Amino acid sequence: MNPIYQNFWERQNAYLLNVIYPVSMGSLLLLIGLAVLFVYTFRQQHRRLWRLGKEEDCSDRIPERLKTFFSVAFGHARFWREGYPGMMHFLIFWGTLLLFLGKGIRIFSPLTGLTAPPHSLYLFASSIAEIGGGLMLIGGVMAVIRRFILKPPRLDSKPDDRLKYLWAFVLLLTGYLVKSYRFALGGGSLPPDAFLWAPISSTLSRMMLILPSEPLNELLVWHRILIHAIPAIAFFGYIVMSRSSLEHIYLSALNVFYRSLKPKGAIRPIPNFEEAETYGVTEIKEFTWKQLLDLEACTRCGRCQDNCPAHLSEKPLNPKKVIQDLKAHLLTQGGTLLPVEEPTEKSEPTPLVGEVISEDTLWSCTACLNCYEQCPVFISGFDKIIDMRRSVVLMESRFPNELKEVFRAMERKSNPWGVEKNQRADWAQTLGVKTLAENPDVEWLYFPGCFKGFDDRNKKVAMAVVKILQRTGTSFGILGPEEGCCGDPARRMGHEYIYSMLVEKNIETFEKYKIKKILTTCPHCYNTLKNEYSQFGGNYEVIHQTEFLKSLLEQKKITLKNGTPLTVTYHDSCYLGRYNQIYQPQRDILKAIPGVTLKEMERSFEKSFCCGGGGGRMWMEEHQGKRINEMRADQALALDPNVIATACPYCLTMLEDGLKARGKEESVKVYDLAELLEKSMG
Amino acid sequence: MKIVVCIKQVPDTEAEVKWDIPKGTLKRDGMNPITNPFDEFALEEALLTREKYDGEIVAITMGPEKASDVLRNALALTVNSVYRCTDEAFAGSDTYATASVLAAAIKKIGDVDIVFCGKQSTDGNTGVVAAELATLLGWSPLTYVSKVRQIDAASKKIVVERAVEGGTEVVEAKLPAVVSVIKGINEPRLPNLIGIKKAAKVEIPQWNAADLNLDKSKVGSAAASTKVVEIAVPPPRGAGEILKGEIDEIVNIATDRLIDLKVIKS
Repeated sequence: MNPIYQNFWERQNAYLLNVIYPVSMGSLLLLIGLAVLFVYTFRQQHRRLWRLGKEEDCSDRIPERLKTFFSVAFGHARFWREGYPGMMHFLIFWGTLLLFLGKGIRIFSPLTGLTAPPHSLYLFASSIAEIGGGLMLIGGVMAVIRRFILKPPRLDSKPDDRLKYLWAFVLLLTGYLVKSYRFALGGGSLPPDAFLWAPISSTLSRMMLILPSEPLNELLVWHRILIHAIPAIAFFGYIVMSRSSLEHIYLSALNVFYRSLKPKGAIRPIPNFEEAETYGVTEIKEFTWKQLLDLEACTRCGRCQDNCPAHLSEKPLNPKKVIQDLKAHLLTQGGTLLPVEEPTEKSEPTPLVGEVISEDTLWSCTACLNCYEQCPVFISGFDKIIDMRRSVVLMESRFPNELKEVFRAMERKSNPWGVEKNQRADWAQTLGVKTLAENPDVEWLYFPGCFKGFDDRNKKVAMAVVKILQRTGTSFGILGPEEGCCGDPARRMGHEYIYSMLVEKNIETFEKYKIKKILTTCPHCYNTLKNEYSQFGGNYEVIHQTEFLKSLLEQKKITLKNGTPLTVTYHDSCYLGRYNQIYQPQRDILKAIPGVTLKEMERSFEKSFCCGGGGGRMWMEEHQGKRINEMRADQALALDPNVIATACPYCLTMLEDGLKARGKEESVKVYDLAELLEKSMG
Repeated sequence: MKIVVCIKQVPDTEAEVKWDIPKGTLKRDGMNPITNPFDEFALEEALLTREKYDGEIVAITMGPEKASDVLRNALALTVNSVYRCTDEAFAGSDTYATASVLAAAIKKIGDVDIVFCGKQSTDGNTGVVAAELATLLGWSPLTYVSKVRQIDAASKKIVVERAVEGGTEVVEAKLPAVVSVIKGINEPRLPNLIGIKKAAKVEIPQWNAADLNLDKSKVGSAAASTKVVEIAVPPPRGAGEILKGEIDEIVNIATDRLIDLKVIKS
């Protein structure tokens, strides 16, 4: 062996055995202690809290859960939507993994003789640990720059956020420092390839060669314990015990694993609704354990608030704050290291609405699901808001005053406007559309929904759809006066009672005509019929008209000839996009229309900005902050389009109102895709 | 304080009303019966009164089996008890006959301090039952009340505001009193689900003529002082005409037409 190597490795081996070995053994013992501490605090601080909540079975479909877990936790699947924060987290995460892997191998290396020549595994471990540490440093510097210099408004910094960075940097730097000391003790006899397996330490060590060597050896043992090993062990203890945001390492990971695998757009039913004596969530313990884990798993990254239409329009709702406020309230119920006294039966539970979450906050939500979509670890603010709305609506009949008439209308007239049921199909008369009562022998039930039935502007959309269906020879019929409201607004306003009545009535009608295939125009009807009616025993093949029209185009049943040059921007409906992942058919249809130039708004696809009409907001006053529909209209107007295309009657109405507010209703038109298509058919 | 609320079941006010012309009665089948909207204000005022002064609320109605629904709604809103006055002999009651039955029920309840009614029903639109009730009971009639200022059960005194042409009148009266309320006196609440479910299970107690100590020959059509002899549906209005053109032209055409129709003189 090359004398330099020999000399170096003799010294290293001696050092490993005499110094690292005892330190490693000591650390291992401490790590066992840490593991015990982790188990104890995990049960005491976290699991105990979740057990306050109700049951929820999240142990189904394990392979799928594991797949999501690995793609999100390791692949950072949902982090990359934002480049800088995504990269930052990726570097820190993978850097840490590599560092721990390298460190682990090296801790065990003296036991197994792996340090003996040719040292290949040892060298490999050294290099990945060094690279890992380097990645952590880069990611860490990016994080510090972002948090303390760029200061995006969505980040709020607590003392823990300063401490954790400072601590981690100290650990990384002392780690490199100690290793480079050790190399330097070799007295200038570093192997020539040292840079490959210890790029950072070897470079540092060259600067330290000026130091005297032997006398420092003894001191160094204590030095490294003092400046590196003890702070590192203490850091792990801090993560485990302190409720630092670093607890997200295990809590968020668990949350990804246990995420809901049900359709995103489906709201869970109230279990045992007929016999239940409480509805929704009045106090924190009425959330399920998984919802409580949601609260704990939030790292305050704020992606939700950057995409929440209520927050961006300066309403009191900020999804991050909702989660954090609920979390803070949860922690008053225990979750400390020491056992707390069990609350006595007599103590009054704190009602969440009014005490923790304000009513204005509760009613600001448009149910657009953007908070859930943007959260890297699948935390939903929306499901908690619905549960709390259910509590105030069903238990106390407490809701914005203007909703009283809406609820009544839905209950009595089966539509939110209170128009007479028998006028529902008036629009279809001139087109000669048959109801199923007149001709039940059809392939498709066309379910236009309340908007098409009772809103004059939207009747035109239904007429366009019918014309297309008739021209393409589609076999279809409508229910006419027998059609009932799908119930979506009632459910999202928390009125499960009215919702279930409407659903049961519709299912009864569907069964009467043995309906199997339903075509909808309204994405709200589509979502609830497709994803929620099954909770009541209604299972149908439900398709939205955009998908249907797309397939007609593909089958060449539609030929498009007329076209004038039009700049069109498409506004994604939340209930089609985020709820049901339907983004592409709409664009394909627009691109197929001659003369159309499609321009995308900055907030489109998964990040699309709500029109402001979902979640029952269509029927509530918007008395706080800016108007969401006007903001969306502005976003569209920035592209200077001739037409804003939509595929949802709510969006159509909201955007037309937005344009009117800007005085642009003459120069820019809002059309449903079906209308554009029908016009182009000539 | 003991409060009685009189409630009537009426056909949905927003629904298209269909008459059985030969019989002179409403076609009730296929219609969605609801609580008379004005009675909802009475019920809410009773609930507010109980919240403010304590006491109990008894809701009563006169009507067929189906009318139990309006009492269930009242129960869901947490009134203390309900009674449905029903008897074949009550059929054909006019306002006075109705008021006699209600008065008998109120007497049977006993120790009542205040009766709340809606100012009128949306089907009959007579608006006199409250006044007749007060007369029959010999109590203070307070009609078209827009605000209850103060009730003092101990000194048997009530102060209310009445909506009169061009202003409000503040009236002080002795208790017991019959108060009919107008729209806007309050904002009626909706029942919560727990209330609805509880009310759904309750058997609604009934009082017939004998229970109310009423002579069968002096109730219903026998006691009615008025009778509907004919009902006519107004002829449908013809379509309007939209005048188009320059403003001067339109004005000329419009004035000519109005002169032709003898609305104005040339």
